[in-house]
Order: sequence, then structure tokens, then C-alpha cells
Amino acid sequence: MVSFLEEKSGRKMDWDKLSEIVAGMDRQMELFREINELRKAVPSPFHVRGFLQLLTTDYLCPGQPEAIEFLETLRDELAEMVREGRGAVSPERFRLMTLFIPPMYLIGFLGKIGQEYGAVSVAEPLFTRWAEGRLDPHKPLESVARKASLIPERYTMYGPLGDRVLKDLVDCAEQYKVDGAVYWAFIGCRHTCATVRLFKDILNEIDVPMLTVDCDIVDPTISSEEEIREKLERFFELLEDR
Amino acid sequence: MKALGIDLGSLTTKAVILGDNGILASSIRPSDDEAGASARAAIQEASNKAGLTDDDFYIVSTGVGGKLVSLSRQQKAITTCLARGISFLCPSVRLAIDMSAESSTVVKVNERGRVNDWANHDKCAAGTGIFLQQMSRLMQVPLAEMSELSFQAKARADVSSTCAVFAESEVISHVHREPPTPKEDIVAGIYFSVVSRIVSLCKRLGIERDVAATGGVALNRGLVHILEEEMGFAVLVPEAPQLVAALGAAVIARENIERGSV
Repeated sequence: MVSFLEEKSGRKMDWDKLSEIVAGMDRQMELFREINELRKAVPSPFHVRGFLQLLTTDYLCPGQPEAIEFLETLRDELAEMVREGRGAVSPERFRLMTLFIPPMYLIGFLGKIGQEYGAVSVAEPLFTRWAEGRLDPHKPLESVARKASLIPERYTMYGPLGDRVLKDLVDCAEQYKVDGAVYWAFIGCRHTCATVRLFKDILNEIDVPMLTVDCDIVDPTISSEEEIREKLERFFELLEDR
Repeated sequence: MKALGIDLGSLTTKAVILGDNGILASSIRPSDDEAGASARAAIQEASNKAGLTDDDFYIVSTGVGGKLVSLSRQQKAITTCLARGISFLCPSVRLAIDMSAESSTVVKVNERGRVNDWANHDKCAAGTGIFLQQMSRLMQVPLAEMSELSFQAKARADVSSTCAVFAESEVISHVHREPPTPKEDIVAGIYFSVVSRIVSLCKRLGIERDVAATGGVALNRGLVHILEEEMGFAVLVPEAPQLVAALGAAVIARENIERGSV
């Protein structure tokens, strides 16, 4: 692959640069894990829009110094909130697990309804829950491959989906003291949505109700804000009544 | 202070006043364009029936227009109210099937009358009261007569269960073919198309007895009969199934009064 890229780009592989990026990615992963630990606090300090910020940091700026600086600042801010007992919403009434990605056009709305109902997303196991493991800058290519085995999407989106993944979901729900889960079943990614029933059943076994919302990640004509508000309000009432 | 529940639906507004020994009075009226007017009229009618002269009510509202009722102290989701209402009437019910004008909703109810889960159809007219009204107009047979006709069916005509538009064109084909499909068979086919959607919703949640049918469509004996055939057991239908959600809202109102949230 390296020779192919060198031939096509007309540039030589910069192994030092790649090692530097790998070291940065390793640091980034450590910061993701620290942030995830802080989110276990009650009340949880992390705002819903932060989820997309974390995703974007990894997808678009892996190993970049700016990304590391951002994550360190975020980590410090969250740590201070935890020390002071401040949550992203006040009062915190519902701790939710977010499964898959909420519609991008609704992030503002989710923040608003979160404040209204005291609901906070404390974990997104399919996208922000990194497996344990380190990257070695002295083995950059192997480390890039290794990272693919550590990313949260590895099993749910790329398979195999086995008992280990389901157990991890249950562990996550228990560690984060989750009251309920919301599965954003977006129609553009049907193969991943095959997990809807599996996840609902496994969460039901530990008495965590799951709401499934049919939607699209960018197309607001599939489910409107009003429809989703109604579903979320019904779900919050269900959680409140338990 | 009396507990009053209002269910403001797209076609009808229902009000229930709870007394010490159950329902004191109730009313069912066509919904006006203005939600407040509908609510006030329904409350007045129920109040008159109960012989009440004051308006000292704790009102909880629900339904599509529930949020528009400024008189209400609290607004609750229809699923919450359905669970409370059916549990009040039949505590053994674990699955409530609400068939109303614009949607079908299935609610899994626990022993405390709380919602464990729910599923609904709200994106398509198929499987709803409005769909049945449309079919009635198409076949030029009143709804009550359609229900009785279905018991005479020897077969069920094929009618789409996935799309109201397709179902309509299929019914037209059945009526106009040579020889025409017997009306009773068409009606049975229409009811079966509604029931198959509902049964698939029930299976999604898991069918657990007892099962009850609520909402205006539950008054349709023919449809309920086909539902029971597909379920394989009897389905409970309360005396006034359209009132279940309003009753549930009234139950919640009473809980709030007893809790001192006045």
C-alpha cells in the first residue's frame, strides 16, 4: 500500500510524521477514556453536543496537536464540574444511553429538551467507548491497524457481533447508571439497525427500557422535530413512572 | 376538588369525572377547531351529567390536542393515560391495543398500571378509524352495518395492509370486478388488513394476556372478532372503550390530588 501511495502521490512516506501522529492518536485515546470516566459522575457533566465534538475530533483530526489541546481543555473543564458537583443539566432526572447517532439537525433541540426534562446522555457505547489498549509510535503501521480494533464501532458496525459486544453494552449501562436508552435507527444505515432488537432485548434483561426512533441523520422529512419530541416525552414519562 | 381527565382527539373530545366509587360522569363530543372550546364543552357536558354546580376540578389532559388545553394542570402522554385507564378498569390487562381515529397504539402495561413499552403506527392512515370511515364511504355501507356484514363473510378478500391508498384501490377493484366480490368478504378483508398491522405491533412488543382493545374502533364488533381470531383468544373490550385514555388522565388527576399537588 505504501509503494502504491508513493507512486500515485509522487511523495515519499514520512515515517517520522506517521510515528508522531500515532503518538498523538495514542494520547487522544487516553483522553477519550479519561473523559468517559468523568461522565460516570452523578450528575454527569457532559452536554449532548459534546458527543459530536468527540466524533469529529477523532474522524477529522486524529493525532493532531489542536485535537489534543481541545480534549485536554475539555477534560479539565469536565473534571472541574465533577469536583463542584455540577451537571450538564440541572436537576439531572434521566441518565440516557445513546445508541447510534442522533440526527445532526436535532442536536440543538436535544440540548433544549434535555434541559427541559433533566435528561443527559451519559454514554454512547457504539461511538465513544474505546477498548483498552495502547498504540506504539515505534510501530506506526501496526498501530494504525491496531486502532481499528479499538474503535467503538468495530463490532457493532463491522462485526462480528457476539456475546462480548452485548456484555459490553450491559456493563456500560451498569457502570454509567443508565435509566434508559435511545436508539436512533436511521434509515441510511440499515445494516447497523439490525441490532435494534438485540440491544432492546439485552437491555430489557437488566430492566433498562429502550426507545427506538426511526429517523435519518440529515433528512428532517423522515421524522420531524415534533414527532421526535412526542416520542421522547412519552419515554420520559415512562421512565418517571418506574 | 374532583379529578377530571380530558382526551382531546382529532375527531372527538372525551371527558371523565372520577367520583369516590368510579366514574361519576363522562362525555364524548365532536372536537371543535379550537381546542379550548372543545375541552370546555366536554367538561360542561360531563359536569351537567354529574349534577355538579361548581367547577372545582383538577384537570389532566391528553391526546393530540392535550397540550392546547389551557384549563389543564398537567398534560400527559396518551400511552401513560391508556395504561392507567385500562388498569383501573381491568387490572389483569398487560397489553392494551388502542385503535383511534388517526393512529393505532399498543401499550405494554405492568401490574402497577404503568407503561413498560409501546409501539404505534402514526405515519399512515391504514389501520385507523379514518381508514375505516373511508372504506365505509367507498362501499356505501354505514360503519355499523359493515361490522354486522363481516360476520357473514365466507372468505376474506385480499386487501393491502401496508398502505391505505393501495387498500382503497383494491377495494374499488373488488367492488367493480365481474362478478363483484361479495361485500361481506370485502369487509372481512378490510378488517383483516387492519388487524394484521395491529397484530404485528403486538408481536413486536410481545403478546401477554390479558389483552384489551380501546379507542373508538374497539366498538366495531366485527373487527374485534377478527382480532380475536388472529390472537387466538378473547380480547377484553371495556364498556366505553373511547373513554379509557380520558379515564386514565382522571386517575392521574386523582393521584395528584391525593399527593397534595394542588
